[in-house]
Amino acid sequence: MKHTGRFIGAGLLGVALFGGAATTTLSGAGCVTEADRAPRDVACPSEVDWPIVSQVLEKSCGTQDCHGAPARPLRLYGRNGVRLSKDSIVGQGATTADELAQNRDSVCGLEPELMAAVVTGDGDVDTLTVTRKPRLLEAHKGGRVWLDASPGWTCFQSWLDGAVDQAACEADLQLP
Amino acid sequence: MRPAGIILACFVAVGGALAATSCESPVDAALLEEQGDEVSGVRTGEFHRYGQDCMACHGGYSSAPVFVAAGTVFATPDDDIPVSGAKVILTDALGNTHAETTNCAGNFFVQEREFEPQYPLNATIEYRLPGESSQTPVHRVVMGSRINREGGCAFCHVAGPPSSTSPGWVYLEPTQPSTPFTVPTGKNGGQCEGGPSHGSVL
Repeated sequence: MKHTGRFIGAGLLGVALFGGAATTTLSGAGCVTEADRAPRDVACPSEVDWPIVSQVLEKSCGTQDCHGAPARPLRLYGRNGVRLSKDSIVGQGATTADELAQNRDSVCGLEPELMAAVVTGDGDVDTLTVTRKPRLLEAHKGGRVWLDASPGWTCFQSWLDGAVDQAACEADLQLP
Repeated sequence: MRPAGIILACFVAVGGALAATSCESPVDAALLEEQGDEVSGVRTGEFHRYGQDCMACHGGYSSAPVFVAAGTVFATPDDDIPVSGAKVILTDALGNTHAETTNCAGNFFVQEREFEPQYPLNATIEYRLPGESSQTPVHRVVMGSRINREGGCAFCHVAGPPSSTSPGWVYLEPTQPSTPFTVPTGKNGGQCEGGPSHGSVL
């Protein structure tokens, strides 16, 4: 009987210690501070040259049946996709500055570490999902959007490389 | 139980479990459910469920015939008036085209055996205003963006006026013309077998 009591006591102590440790671990992991919620800076190619690149992506990828829909991981706002503001109407008015900024964050925030490597010249653009899928180097529900010679791809690649090929971007926007 | 019996029972159990779980798509099932019941008095067919998302049933998930594109054309963004006789022209990435004309419920549909488009598609609608003769040049409205993968108009063109999440249903004119569009009649001037005359499904 005496031994049984010791066993029970030791068991309860063990449970208490385990529970305490688990609670501490969980509470430590579960706390999110305001700093954690704040937007983080993500390395991203030129903001100045982004508007025309965004237009190219909006046209080829940002329609409402593709990435111009709220549920998409790579969400693209714009004239012909979902609008950022409830006051904007689909199909009316140009893509706004806020929408352009959100689109750039979407592209660069998809794989921030890989994008940072591309921006610093330490990574290859082909490591990015956002370049592989539209060229079907990786399975893509939307199929092949660009061939390697497509002006749209030349435009996007040149932005990633740090010097936008404006002529290629404009040529893509002229396509139906 | 003998070993052979146990093995057979396992096969039956596993097979049954797979059969019960493998064909269900919660997303497609929910979309089907959203469409609701048929309007009373309208048969299942080319005139039914105007304005709804055709691909909920005709996208291959149910046993209904599979369409590659389908939808309803309305007169204006604000009037529940489908348009009969509008010519919907689809052009795919290879330059192949296919045209369908809307029926009295405003519906059109393209079956798989008729057209196998290479996405993206461009959509154009040609039409005449009420009272215009066949000699009058057609009016033409061209879709502002590509169709990249969804052939059902209502996937994006949700019923109602344009908003921040949808361009609204497919319409021809921003407002009613001087001779206004009216709800189309059916064959020989009789009531159309579908459309708002039977009660709105929108």
